[in-house]
Amino acid sequence: MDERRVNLLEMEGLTKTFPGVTALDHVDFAIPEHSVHVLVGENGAGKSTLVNIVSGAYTPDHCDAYRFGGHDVHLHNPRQALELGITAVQQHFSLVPDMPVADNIFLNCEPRKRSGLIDYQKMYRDASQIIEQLDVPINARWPVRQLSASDRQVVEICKAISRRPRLLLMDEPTSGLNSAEIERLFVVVRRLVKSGLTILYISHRLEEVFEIGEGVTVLRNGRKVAEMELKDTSHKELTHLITGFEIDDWFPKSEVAIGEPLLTVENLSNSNTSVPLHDITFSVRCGEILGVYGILGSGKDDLAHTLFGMIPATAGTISIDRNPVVMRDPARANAEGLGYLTEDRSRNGYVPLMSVAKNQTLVALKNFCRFDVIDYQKENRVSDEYIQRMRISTPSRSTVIKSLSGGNQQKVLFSRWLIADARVLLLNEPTRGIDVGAKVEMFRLMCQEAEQGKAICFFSSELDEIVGMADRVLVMCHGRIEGEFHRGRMTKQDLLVCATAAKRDRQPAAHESNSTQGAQK
Amino acid sequence: MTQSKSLSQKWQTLTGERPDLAILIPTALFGLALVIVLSILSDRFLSWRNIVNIMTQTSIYLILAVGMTLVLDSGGIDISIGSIIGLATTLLGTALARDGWVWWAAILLCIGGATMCGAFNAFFIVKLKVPPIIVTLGTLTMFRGFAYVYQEGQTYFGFPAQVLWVARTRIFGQIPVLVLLSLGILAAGHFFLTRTRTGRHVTAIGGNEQAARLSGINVGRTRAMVYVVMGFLAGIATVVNTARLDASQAVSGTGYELHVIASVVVGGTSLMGGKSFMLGTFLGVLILGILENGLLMAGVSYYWQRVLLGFIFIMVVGIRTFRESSEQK
Repeated sequence: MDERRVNLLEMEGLTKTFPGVTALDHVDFAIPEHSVHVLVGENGAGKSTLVNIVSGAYTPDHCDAYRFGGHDVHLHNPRQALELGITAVQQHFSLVPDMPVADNIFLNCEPRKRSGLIDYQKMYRDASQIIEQLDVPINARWPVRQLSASDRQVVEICKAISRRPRLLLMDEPTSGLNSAEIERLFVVVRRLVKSGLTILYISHRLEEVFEIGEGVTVLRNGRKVAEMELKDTSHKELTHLITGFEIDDWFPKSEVAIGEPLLTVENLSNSNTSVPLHDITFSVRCGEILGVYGILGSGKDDLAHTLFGMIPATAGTISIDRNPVVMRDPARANAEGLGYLTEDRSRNGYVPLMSVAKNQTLVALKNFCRFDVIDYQKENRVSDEYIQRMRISTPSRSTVIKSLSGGNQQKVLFSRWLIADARVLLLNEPTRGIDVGAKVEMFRLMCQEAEQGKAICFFSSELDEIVGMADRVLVMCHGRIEGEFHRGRMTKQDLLVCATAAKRDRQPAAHESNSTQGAQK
Repeated sequence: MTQSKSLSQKWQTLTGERPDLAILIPTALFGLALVIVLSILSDRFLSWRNIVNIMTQTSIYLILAVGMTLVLDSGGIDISIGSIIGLATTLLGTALARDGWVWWAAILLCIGGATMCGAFNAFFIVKLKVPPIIVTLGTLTMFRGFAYVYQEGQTYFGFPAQVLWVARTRIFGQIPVLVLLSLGILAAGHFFLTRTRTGRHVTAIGGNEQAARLSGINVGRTRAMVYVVMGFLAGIATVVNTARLDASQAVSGTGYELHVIASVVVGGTSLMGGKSFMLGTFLGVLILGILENGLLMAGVSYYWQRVLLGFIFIMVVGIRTFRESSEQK
């Protein structure tokens, strides 16, 4: 039966390079008609590049053949792709919240009367028809603001299919949805396929992939490593294909004697975060690098924000040196010796127009003051000391931080917490947006601080880094800790399986025998 | 060149930062060109008498501009200052002339009232998180309305000598007290912004409020302080202004906000926050003051001056915005 299936889209020898990176390297890619085809791969494997080429946003450097519906085509921009019938489902935050559903669906292609005015009657009728087709309980007149996350995602799908596509691209459509919502979304997806649509589905979550997909293409480091039917493979095999086996040995991890617990978290919950946290219990010891791994929507960021008091916890206790502390705001967390290296430097990390030195001393400025008056000589001395110690490459300490490279900006922000003498360092995606050399430097600094007896929480969604650097790893999924792994007794596969396979209806993962301490709930 | 480099290094050791020469030099050159043109047009322009005159006229703007530099630096704006002056001067005038208060109590009332106006702005901006432009647009009308209600259409004048002292007395028979007062406030403002922790916090909040919050800075308290200080300085400016005119009218201070904001922006402070330059503010106030003085001597009407002021304001902001957006490309 599979042999008779026609490919809707075929690409051969697809190559795309960006300065310094080959994102796609001679990839042959095909999507069979009337099916859900899945594309999987790690961050940076080339998934988004491929999707962008299919949707016309990028032009490939090289392509032997590109056929859509049996015809040779050449795409140069997204408009051409749209005309061919290739439409991407946007993430659900691209809707206008205060507009009704129908207006959102037909935004910028509203049906017009002959006078040029919008034909509202026709618009609402058409919108209702599309919604009916999906059989979802949504009224075309409701404002989007009232809808749940999954309903908004459905509206996005309605918007996409109102353009009458033949191929629908869905990039991580379930991020931010809970299990019941995902279930409802899948019902809609299946109905669409039955009605003759072809869907390219991209997801991190393997469990979903097996539930919804038929064929799968696996990308790794810009190459296609497998293309097969999902029914012929297993979870384990797919994870293996995605991660590969090349363990990069550029992690300068040093062995450090691990001391007493410094930060202890018990039964922590937070219902105010974007992914609610449930019943989180763990501790970090002096000299320990604790990895916290989770994919998008796992609650990893939310845990970091809660610990640092950005969104105070709603239940549970956080203790420093076994003394319970209420982290009600970042100022309190600072005072208790916590430091937070943010996942988004430009949003809440640096003050862009301030100099390197001023950014470095922003937290600890009190120590440089007498009666509120800053001692510049002392500030400059300490700034120079840390620029040298952390090998920050900057023309001078008075250079504006915005003009430095990402890696050096990150080091400046790291030194901010060292100058403030933070004992617990919460590092959230510390290697995001910095080049490989700077990454190694960051790891070196992490080890250096661990040797000084600091406790480090290393939040990351990069498997290699977590496995390479952490003494112990907590895996998060849907706001819970789903597993704990120890250095030397974990593989990338284990972590990925745990982070993606955790049953959405809350069943403990099946590999707890791996951990000697049953610290997780 | 070496001269300017060592100067800039000296500046750096004093403030920890290089001045933005790309803004400072063109502004200073413009000011110089203006002085040269005006001194050619009129031989009275560079006379000691006229210089003192300009300094006196600009001293009120300078006091206000110091506060406004802080407000803009924190990423906010305060367009209610003209109305605060109107309200505060009626408080002062009625207390002295109608109610017969002793001079120092009236001055306290005036400055205290203006400070309360600033606190009122701060409450809505910080506690209720209403955008500063909206809050002060509202209080712009509110405070002025109060002033008219309170003054009951009267103009008060003939104030005691203790009040007039600040405007009438000259140190060494040459330099008016109010000029020294405004320069003192400028120096204090410069010291506050460049040398104190709180001043640094103001700049950090204007530059990246989220980063400031994560650094443990009490963002609400610092922002509130900025508007209270603005109100306090408007109170001092009111006392000086009332003494200089020896008259109190509810209409007084109308349109000051634009003149002050324009001066601060000409001096190199960013409307977006996080970047300020107190000595540039002095330069900006001087340039607009000289321009006003020159136009007056040339016989250009007040109304044409308003046209020109508004246009200069938009032009300067436009050039800055264009420069910044082209830098980012």
